[in-house]
Amino acid sequence: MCEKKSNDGCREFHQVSRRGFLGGSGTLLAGLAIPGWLPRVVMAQSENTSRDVIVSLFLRGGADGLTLCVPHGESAYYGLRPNLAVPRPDSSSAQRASDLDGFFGLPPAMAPLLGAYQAGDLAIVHACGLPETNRSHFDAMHFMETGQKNPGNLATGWLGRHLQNTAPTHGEGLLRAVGIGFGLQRTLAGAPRALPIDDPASFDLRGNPASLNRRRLALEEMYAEVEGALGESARNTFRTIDLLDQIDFDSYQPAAGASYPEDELGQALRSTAALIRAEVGVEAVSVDLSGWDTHDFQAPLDGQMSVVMASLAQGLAAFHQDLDGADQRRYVVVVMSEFGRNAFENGSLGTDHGHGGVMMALGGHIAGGRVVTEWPGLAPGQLFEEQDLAITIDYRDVLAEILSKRLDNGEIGAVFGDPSYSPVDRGIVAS
Amino acid sequence: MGVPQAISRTVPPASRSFSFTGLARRRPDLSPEALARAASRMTMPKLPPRLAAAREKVDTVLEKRLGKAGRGGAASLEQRMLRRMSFGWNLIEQEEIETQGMAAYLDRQLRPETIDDLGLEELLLDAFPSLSMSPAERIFTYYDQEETVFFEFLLANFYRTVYSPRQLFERLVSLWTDHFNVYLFSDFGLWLKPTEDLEVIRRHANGSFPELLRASAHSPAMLDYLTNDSNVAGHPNENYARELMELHTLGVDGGYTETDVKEVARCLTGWSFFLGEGLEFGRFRFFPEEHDTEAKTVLGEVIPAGGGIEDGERVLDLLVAHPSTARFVSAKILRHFWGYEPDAATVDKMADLYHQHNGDIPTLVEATLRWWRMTRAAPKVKRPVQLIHSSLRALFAEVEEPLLVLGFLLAAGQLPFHWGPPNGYPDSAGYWSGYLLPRFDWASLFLAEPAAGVRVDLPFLDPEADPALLRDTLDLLLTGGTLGETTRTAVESYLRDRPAGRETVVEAIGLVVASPDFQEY
Repeated sequence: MCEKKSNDGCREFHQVSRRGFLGGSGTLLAGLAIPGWLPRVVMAQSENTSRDVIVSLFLRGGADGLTLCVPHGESAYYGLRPNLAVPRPDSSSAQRASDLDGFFGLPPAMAPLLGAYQAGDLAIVHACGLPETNRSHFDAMHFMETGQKNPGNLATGWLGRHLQNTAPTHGEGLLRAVGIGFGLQRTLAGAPRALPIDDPASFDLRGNPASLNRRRLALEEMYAEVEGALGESARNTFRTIDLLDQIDFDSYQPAAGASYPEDELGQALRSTAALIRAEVGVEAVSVDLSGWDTHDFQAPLDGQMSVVMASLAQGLAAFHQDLDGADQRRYVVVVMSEFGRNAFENGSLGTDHGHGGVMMALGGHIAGGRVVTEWPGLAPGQLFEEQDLAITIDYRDVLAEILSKRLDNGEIGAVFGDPSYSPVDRGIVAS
Repeated sequence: MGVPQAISRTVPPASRSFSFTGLARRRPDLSPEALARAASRMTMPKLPPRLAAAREKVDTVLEKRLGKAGRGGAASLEQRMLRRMSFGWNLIEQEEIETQGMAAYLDRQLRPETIDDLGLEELLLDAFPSLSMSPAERIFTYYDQEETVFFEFLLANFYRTVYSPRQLFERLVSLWTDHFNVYLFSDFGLWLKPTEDLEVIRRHANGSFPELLRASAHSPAMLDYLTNDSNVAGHPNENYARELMELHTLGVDGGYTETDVKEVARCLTGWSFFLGEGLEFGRFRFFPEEHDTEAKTVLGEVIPAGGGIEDGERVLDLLVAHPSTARFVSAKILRHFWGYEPDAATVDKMADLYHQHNGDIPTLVEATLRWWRMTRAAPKVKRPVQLIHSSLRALFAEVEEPLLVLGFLLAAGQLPFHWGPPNGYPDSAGYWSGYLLPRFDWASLFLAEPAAGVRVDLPFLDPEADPALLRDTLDLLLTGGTLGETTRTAVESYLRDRPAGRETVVEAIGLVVASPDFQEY
């Protein structure tokens, strides 16, 4: 119930806010140069500072790992991709790859990420993915997002179960997870206090201002006792309105002059950065980027795939610059896709569904600046089912390491529920 | 209850731009300016007089029923049937189903051609010329005005789903539109999809599933969207072949292998459409020189060398007759009309019917909508289209600015023909019950200022009436008197607390539309 909102906040919010304290410290606050967009209420009191905020970024459609991170040192690559290969770093082409380590390189559209890579905050994991063969988008996404070999009817995601099994970092955890979009990503399904939000900047009840508080009261009454997902989301919605009301997203100033692209991912990451920097207790954010199902006219240099890669790279680079510039190092972004694409290009200047691909980890405590891989090779005898990049690193190894080392999860078994799986430490998180 | 101060108003919207920037962000090459220009050029059709007249009975019906109902409580069987068969229950349909009897009502809905559409189709084809054009005519006429094609197509869909008396048919159209999803903005989608909508989905929605599938497989919109136009001998493109089995027929666990995907792709090499200039643009075409004529094996059956288009036709025959297809399609229909989790025994029974009746869709729908099955149907969460449409239908609203309603659909995440991946908009409570705020927005804005251009004539709603009576009236009008006690109490106390008047009644309607009771069907 919220009879009076304005600067005083709502009753529910008083339970966790320190309004009284801040209210009495106006003069003290006035002396600090707090940016205008920051929450008026800071909840640092009960904060657990040992955990990163995790951003799970899913590349929907099956992203071609052989383009995202080019194995230019592998001559077979150029034979498999006569029309789609990215030129070697030593070529004279203006579209050549930027070398990373003498063997791998980034295509021009991914070059904005060189800064984060060179700063040691970005690790690229290659020949990585879901070990089971599965070339269906929806099945493979289902498996990876639930973190299960055989999910059956299991409805919760790996990140959702992680949050179920850990205490909130901030107080009672008003809003622990946000899925940017219209429906909650399966990755987050089952997470307590989680909501899909398409645009965090405009999350508020609308309509006649004179009756707004009274209408909200009526809505809260109607949903107070409703069981199941509907009641839960409604109550989350009311809490979240108050929480996000504290942040002025529109005047948010990215640090270090970081400039987010105007596209959907750029704006989602900008809002995510604002949420992280505002420290309102959001622990996990799920974001999607689609456009990777490049069956035809893949155009890694000047078309379909270069556009979507540019969106990814520019968005992540701005995010890195922003958080780094704000000295906010407790975050980790994990980038994954349901599968890589066929090693051979098809007849449509594209690639069909494949197997091994690329994951990325970006964060303040990532042992980055390197490509983590057990490279299986692309020569005829080395391809998986004679057509795809093989998988030598289980995608769960990347998640498990981040969960246990950066998110305080001591029960990895409960997340993946697979007795036959024991995580291999790939050294992705800095020790 | 004769009333002087009626809720009857038409508020010109401040702007005709629905979130054009939101749309442009998802489709960068449609500029907000171009969309706004196209919107300002459009003339919105007035509802045909006969359709508008049908709404006038509501006053009498409401008054007749108010004495008996409006006490809250469980929905009657007829109400549940109507909710499942339409884009939203309303009082007039309730009268009809009670007068005709459930079996007769269902029977009529299953034969939509026998239902007078009160002039709706004629109106739409007349008001929106791009709808019925061939792809060639469409692209020649509108190559520099693609926004017009976009709006006409979406608006036709809007009018049909909200106003058509053939509601069950429109629900089937929506089901198959998701099943055979084609994203409107895939390559040539905007030019091809309106034709596919008419000639594939609407033509076969209530016909035979095998025919529907065959039509889809021959439709340029699908072949373009799933890139079969570049599936050629020696360089197969598996995209369509895979989704044909995974999403359209067998289902992912339907018993096919990766080899089957490759073999089906080879069978479908050369299935494409004419892309050049001329009247043939956008028509299906088989290109023999691009077809792989070697032998193939699909699902254990050898398809001999030397074939042409018949290789692909043979694949479609195998798929429509496959037991997995019967189960997959049956489960899909059950999920759409009955509930999220149909049990295996019911699915198997339906699959038997599929085989006995050669995939006859009305037979499967009729079996799904049996009254005794409906008594055990758990509530489903309305998808945004249903939430918005059911509020408009219950209130017999006339929408004068449908573009603004499209804006609400966009904000709530279900603008028709706008789902990118090939699996169609989700039909699950988990996906849709999270993002409630856009629903609350719709509820509080669609009748309030600045208006969404929605006109409601409710002469019987007396803003000065006793709050308890008003509460009963709204309950009856919007839900047939099935609101739960908590919602009824909240609405009544709202009416008591706020100053009596039109604005408060409109806000109370918004509360009912935003209530938990109204989110399910």
